[in-house]
Amino acid sequence: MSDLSRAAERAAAHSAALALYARQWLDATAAQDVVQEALVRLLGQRVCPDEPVAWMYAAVRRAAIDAARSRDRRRKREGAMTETKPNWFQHDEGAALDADAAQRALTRLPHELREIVVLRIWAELGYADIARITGVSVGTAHARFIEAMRRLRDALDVTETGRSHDAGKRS
Amino acid sequence: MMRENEVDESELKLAEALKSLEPAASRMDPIAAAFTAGRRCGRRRERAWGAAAIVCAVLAICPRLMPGGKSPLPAHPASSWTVSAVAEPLPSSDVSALQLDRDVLDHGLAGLPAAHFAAMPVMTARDML
Repeated sequence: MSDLSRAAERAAAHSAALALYARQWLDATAAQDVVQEALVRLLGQRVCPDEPVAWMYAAVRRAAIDAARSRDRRRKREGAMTETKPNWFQHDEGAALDADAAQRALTRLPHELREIVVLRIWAELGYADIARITGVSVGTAHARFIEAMRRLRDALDVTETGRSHDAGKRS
Repeated sequence: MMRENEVDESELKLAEALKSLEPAASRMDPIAAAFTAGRRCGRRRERAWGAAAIVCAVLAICPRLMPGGKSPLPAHPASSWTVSAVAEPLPSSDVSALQLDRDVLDHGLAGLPAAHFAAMPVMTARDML
C-alpha cells in the first residue's frame, strides 16, 4: 500500500471531525463536499505530506473559507438568506452534554476561538499543528483555547452526573 | 493561585464532556476520491503532452513563416559554399560529343575527361533548414 493510500485511510478516520471543522463555515452538504475535495487533493499530491491529518485540516480550512466566500457573494446577489443549521453532533443520551446546547454555545463563540476548540477537542491535534493550520503562534492558539473553554464553561452548566443545560436557561 | 494560561479542573471536565459528543456522521468516499484524483492526474499529463506538442509545432513552423525565412539555426558554412559552386557557370568543354563517344568506346570510363566540378558536400537535414 502506498504512502498516499495510508494517508487517505488515516484521513478517512477523521471524516466526521473534518466535516465538523468545515461546518464552522459551511452547511452540512457543502462541508461534506469540501472534505471529499480535500481528500481528492491529498490523493493527487506527488509527495505524501509528512502530517496527512494536519494537512487535511489545513486543506479543508482553505477550501471551506473559499466556499463560504463564494456562497456569501451568491447570497448577496440573490438576496436570499435561508440558513438551515442541521445538528453538528449526534444525539446520544449517554453523552455528558446536550448536543443542541453544546452547538448553541459553540456558535456563540467568536470564529477564531471556535475553530481552535474543534481542532483541539474533536480533531485531537496538538497546539503546534493548530497554530500551523490557523496561521497563529502556538502561544496564541493555546491562549485562545483557554479563553474558549472559559466562555463555554460560563455558557454551559456541566454537572458531574447530569447532562448540561444552557446557563442562560437556568432558573 | 492558578496561572492565567492553565486550564482548571472544571474546564478539563468540560473538555471531556465536549469530547463525549460525537460529530455528526460524514460520508467520505476514498474510492471515489482516488478515482477522481487519478482522472485529474491523467488529464494533467494529457494537457502537458498537448502543450509540449503545440510548442514544438510552433517552434518548427515559426522560422518558415518569418519574413525572409531565416532559420534560427546558424547557417552551415558548407551550405553557402554549395550554392556558390552550383551558381558558377559550367566550364565549357572543347571535346566534341563524337570524340567523347569514340574515347569511351576505346578506353571505357577511363577515356572520359577529368570533371571540372567541385566536390559536392554531403547534405544533411540540418543543412535544409
